[in-house]
Amino acid sequence: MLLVKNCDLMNMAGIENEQYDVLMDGGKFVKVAKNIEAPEGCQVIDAAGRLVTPGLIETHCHLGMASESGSNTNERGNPNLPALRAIDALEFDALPIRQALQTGVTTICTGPGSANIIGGTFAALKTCWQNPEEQVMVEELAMKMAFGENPKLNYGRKGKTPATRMGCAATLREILFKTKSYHEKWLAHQEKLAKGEASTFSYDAPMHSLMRVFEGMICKIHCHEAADILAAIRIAKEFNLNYSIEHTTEGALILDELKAEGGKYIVGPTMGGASKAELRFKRYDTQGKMEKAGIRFAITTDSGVIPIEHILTQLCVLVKYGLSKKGALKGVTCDAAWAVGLDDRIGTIEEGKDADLVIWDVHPLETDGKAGVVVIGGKVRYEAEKEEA
Amino acid sequence: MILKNCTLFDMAAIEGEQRDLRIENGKITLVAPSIEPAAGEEVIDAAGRIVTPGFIDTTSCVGIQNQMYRFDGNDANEVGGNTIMPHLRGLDAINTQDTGFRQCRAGGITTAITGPGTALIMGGTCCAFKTGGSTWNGRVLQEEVALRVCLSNDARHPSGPVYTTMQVPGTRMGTVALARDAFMKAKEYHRVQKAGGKQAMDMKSASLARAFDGMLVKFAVTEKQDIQAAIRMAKEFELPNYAIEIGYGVSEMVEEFKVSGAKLLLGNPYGGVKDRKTRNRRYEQANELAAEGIDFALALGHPGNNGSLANVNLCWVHKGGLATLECLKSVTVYAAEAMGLQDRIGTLEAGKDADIVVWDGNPMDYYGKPEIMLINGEQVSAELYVD
Repeated sequence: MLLVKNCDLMNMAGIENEQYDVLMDGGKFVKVAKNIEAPEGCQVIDAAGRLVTPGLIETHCHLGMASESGSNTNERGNPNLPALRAIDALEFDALPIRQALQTGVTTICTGPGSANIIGGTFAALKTCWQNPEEQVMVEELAMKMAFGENPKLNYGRKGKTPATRMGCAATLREILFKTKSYHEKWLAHQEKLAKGEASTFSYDAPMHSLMRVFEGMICKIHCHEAADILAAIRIAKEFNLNYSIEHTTEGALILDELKAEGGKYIVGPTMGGASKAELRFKRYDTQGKMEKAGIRFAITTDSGVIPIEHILTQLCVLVKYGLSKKGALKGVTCDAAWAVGLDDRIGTIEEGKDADLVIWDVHPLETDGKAGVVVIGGKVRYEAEKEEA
Repeated sequence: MILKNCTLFDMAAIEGEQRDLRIENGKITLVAPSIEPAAGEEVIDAAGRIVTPGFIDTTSCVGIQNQMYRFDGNDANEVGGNTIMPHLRGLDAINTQDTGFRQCRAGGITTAITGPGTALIMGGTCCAFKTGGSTWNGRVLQEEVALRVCLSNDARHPSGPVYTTMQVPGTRMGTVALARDAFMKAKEYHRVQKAGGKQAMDMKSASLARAFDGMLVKFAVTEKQDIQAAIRMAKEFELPNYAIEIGYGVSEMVEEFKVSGAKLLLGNPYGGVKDRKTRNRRYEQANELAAEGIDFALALGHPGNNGSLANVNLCWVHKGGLATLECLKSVTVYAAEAMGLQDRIGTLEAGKDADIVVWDGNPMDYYGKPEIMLINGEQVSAELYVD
């Protein structure tokens, strides 16, 4: 049991900079109220008026995928690899995951890169690396897909398909058509078995993995250019997929379309320059423009593209170029949780949700922004003053 | 022109005092507490804002490794043939339409030492080039200010040694051997040249030979053993003016480095420690080396570290412990001195180029950004976006 008193609380669900206490038990928030009396035997931390927010959420990264022996983020031989799973490759206590915890990031969604049309599944992890038994939140959270220059470079340059954007879209649609058929056969097979009828089924691991997108598994679709974003949305609608657009770099060029679709948009990594043509409209004012247009979105570092310890640096740069401070915090808390389909568990400080919070020694949107205490599942996992001893 | 009401940090003696500056013909001609404008003289009011010299990026590829273009716009590395190409000149490749220049200005950078990348052992020479201005000639500060030599992993062949031809080495031994071979040939070329003898034109040796007459050699190296190899080579060939560029491994050989006489263009720590290879790329490193009595400039490194984030990068070095003013000096006066350009840039003193930044806010804060920027006394836009 843990009670944090005297919070300057931003619970990202309606409470903004008000003095509150937060009680946690059994890994969940059990009470968010003013002047909570500590139950017997309860650990008490005095936030002493410091800002308290939900733990930050990184919706799209590759942390734990690379190791000293090389990067494991992308297979190179086949653009269709839905059976690959990040969970099978993760180094759960990788140094960047520890750095994430120290920066106030409590949940990371990590997985394959974007060299393939379908790269495999993402995992959702808590960053409490000292307790690996508590780390895995969702083994297979989402199916990673990608359009644009990365798959084109990985295959087209070797004379294989896809070499063009048309090829990327057609490749994905063809795979989805075939998998839909497989899924229907599978459902028919299940029905027969349920009725006690005889039935056989020819398993195919990749399609067996991918068919879950027809049962609600989120498709995280990497798109920078407007053409790719719109193609992804078009195909997702055709197959009735639950989707999020990753990066959404040209989002500011298609504000009306994005608003009308109301999809899940994950925007970033923004801080930095443009290494390839499809990043030509990468701009620090994109999130600010999307906010003004009333579009809901999450903000990502795509770590290691932007090192995870710079999750706050990026937010400050976005605020510098027009995003509101509240919008910046939403993008890595409540709206991030929504974008990855985990808003029943994380993203706000409300009763019933996972007890993940940060007591900030210095406000996260100031240059010296610094996490003082990081709590995951109702237990203190990081204390700045202890680390610095 | 008068730039008045500056809270001036000139990177020399003035630390936050109120000053006016007079600028004439691209130079600062007077720095004084109050300057009366002459009849018809233009006046810009800094209105008490912090004013500093523009930053100097000593390890840039701006205009050569252009934004956005993976292939067409990347002119930084002449790969595919010989790895000893000291006669290539960054000067010949600078594209002023590169949006990277605008990004650099938005971060406070007014001079870029721009040239080849690190894929070749000897990629060519770097040009000291202003990041803005209406004429090409006005922007060239020095056509060839340094030779770049890379002994680190980047210059080794990705698929291993190519023993037969030794064109592109796979090992450290091979890399150093090729570099020494080039220096030996250049040293002989130089001897004959100085003796007034006749010899066949050898463009590579002619370029490299300038190192013996004092042209700065920048050794782009990260690991300790590569730094040691660079110092050993500099001693063997009696290079009078050389710098270790990036040099994270210096932390593992502090005393040795101090006695070497090498200059240090310390690598940008952005990225931090991620694995064994980056074990020394700590935000605290700059402060630790300063405490050890090592002088350095801080290498900003556009486009690897985008110029628009130059002042943000400085904030991180400050978080690592380096004093505020030392952070700013590491990308102004110390950088100018390391490059031998201190008579033109690096401080805001009479006689120097009018490369001046009037800051909106504090440069040592994430939210600080250039509000007014002068390069060679000409006002240039430091807006990151112009639509």
